[in-house]
Amino acid sequence: MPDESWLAFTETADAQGYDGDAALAWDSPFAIVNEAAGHVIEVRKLCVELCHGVDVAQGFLGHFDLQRITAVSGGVALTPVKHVSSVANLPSQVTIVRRPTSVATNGRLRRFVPIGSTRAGVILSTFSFPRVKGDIGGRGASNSTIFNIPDTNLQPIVLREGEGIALYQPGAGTVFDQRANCQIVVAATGATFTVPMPFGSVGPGVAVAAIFNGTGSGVVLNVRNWNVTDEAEANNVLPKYRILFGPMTLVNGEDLATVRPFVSSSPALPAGVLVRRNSYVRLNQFYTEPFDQGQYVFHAAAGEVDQFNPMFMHQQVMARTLPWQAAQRLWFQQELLWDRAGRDTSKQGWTLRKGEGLAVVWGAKLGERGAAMTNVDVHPSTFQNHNFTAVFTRRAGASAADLPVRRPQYHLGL
Amino acid sequence: MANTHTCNAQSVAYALNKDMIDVHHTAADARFERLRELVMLNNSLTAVTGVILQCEIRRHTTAPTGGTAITPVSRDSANSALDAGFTSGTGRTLVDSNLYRRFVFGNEEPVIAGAAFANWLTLVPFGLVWPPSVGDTSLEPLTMVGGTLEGFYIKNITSTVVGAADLEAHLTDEAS
Repeated sequence: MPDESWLAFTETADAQGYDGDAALAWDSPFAIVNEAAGHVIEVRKLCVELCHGVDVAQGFLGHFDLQRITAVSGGVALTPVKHVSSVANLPSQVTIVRRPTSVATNGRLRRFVPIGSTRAGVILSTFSFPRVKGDIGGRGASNSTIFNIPDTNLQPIVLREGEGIALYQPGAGTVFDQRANCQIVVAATGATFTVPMPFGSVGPGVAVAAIFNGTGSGVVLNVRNWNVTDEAEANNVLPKYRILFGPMTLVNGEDLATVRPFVSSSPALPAGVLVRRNSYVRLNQFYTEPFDQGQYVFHAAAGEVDQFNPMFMHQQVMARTLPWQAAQRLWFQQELLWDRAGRDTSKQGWTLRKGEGLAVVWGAKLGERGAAMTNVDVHPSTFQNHNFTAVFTRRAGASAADLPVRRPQYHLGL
Repeated sequence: MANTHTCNAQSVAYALNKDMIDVHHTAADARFERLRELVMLNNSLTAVTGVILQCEIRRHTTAPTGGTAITPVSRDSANSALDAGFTSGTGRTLVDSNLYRRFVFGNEEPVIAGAAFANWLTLVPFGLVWPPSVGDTSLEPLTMVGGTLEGFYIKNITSTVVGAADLEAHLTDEAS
């Protein structure tokens, strides 16, 4: 029997300016935070539909390969995010990096053409609007998918000790940033991790991102899903959404989102399960990065699991007004589903123990690696038909495992 | 989950009635290789004057000859090797048998601006040309039955020689 299931939605959420302390507060149009002891919330799906207009134009057209590898060196470490905070960290022998210095390739699994441009001014560009992490309904994969497992009879990509996988650029082309998002599962335990991978196209023969299961790790990793989207920022102060997961609290969270049980006889949600719209998310510094290293908040928010560009959503909504598309059942006629856990039952959902939450937040200049955020007092352009929906389950859990994992703390000697 | 292998080829040129990608096993192969996915992607970036073309997914029941061999890539290095009687290739000479599906494709190169049909054909989810009902456990996959000489392939049936495609066949290797 499935766990008690709930649906929450915001309907039309107001567009609010971003202000406050950039280091700690995040304007959040939609958030679920579990402050109820004895209950575990598992978010299975998150859907979004919104409209925003900007204008950015660049272009690059090239190939990327999904390659098996037998070695990796160098690169900038990427942090995998646990779907359940109480599971063990990946062993230190597991290396996940952006722009490794070198990889040893050992078999191509797929070649694909990634996003190369953002053409907000050109409504009909398939290279701009389809590449969101939205679901396209019955096909079971977003347009940005480069690998998934549509048939349960198929194996995932299995990485044993000494094996890895890389996104590899075989040809020339060097224009701006893209972002990948990959889910890996530890075979023995089912522990699920999401790895956000920002990268930029580089010269030929370079791996832009890699996951390597080093010798001695003691684990087997299953790669189950991989998406690539475009993350161009150019010179615009471009609002962007981040999905944050982990210890957090809500500030000014009085604006309730509608919550409905799937079964009318389900008991009411505990009062500590907060489902809010138009609030501020405050990352819990005592549970996240070291207190005195606030720059981590700029570099990449603790628990950031994904980003997406609302400009693409705008393209999709605009496309509805075009008569030639009215007769077609294309993806933009459906909700855009951020489904990093949902339909694949081999993956854990986003599990919220007491003190943890899953929030959509927005701000400017969030996509560039290491770039500081820019305060934007008023949300640019118009914001219409902005609706978030989440599907989550609730189950009782009153053991010590409900408590969020505390990370090592560092304190200034004042 | 059964042992899964991927046969893939890049930049496969078009020709009338050409085998774009095939999988095959001989009667000596007692294993059951089940074709779970066929993927075709319009990944050629060279500017051409393309056409709308048609491809077919067919069974074949004769041994392939000529063409270019494809080396399968396993999803798990611990998987046992495919039987020696299994092969995969492109451009091989095959004799048609049953037709399973005919679909429309294109060989115009994708462009940066514009909602060209060619652009849609680069997206991996849209490149899944078989099976028609992904994940429907009530349907059998296309199966190379153990002990039977047979296989499956994507055949281009349009007269065109410009452009190229990337193709994949994902199959499971099972004892029965």
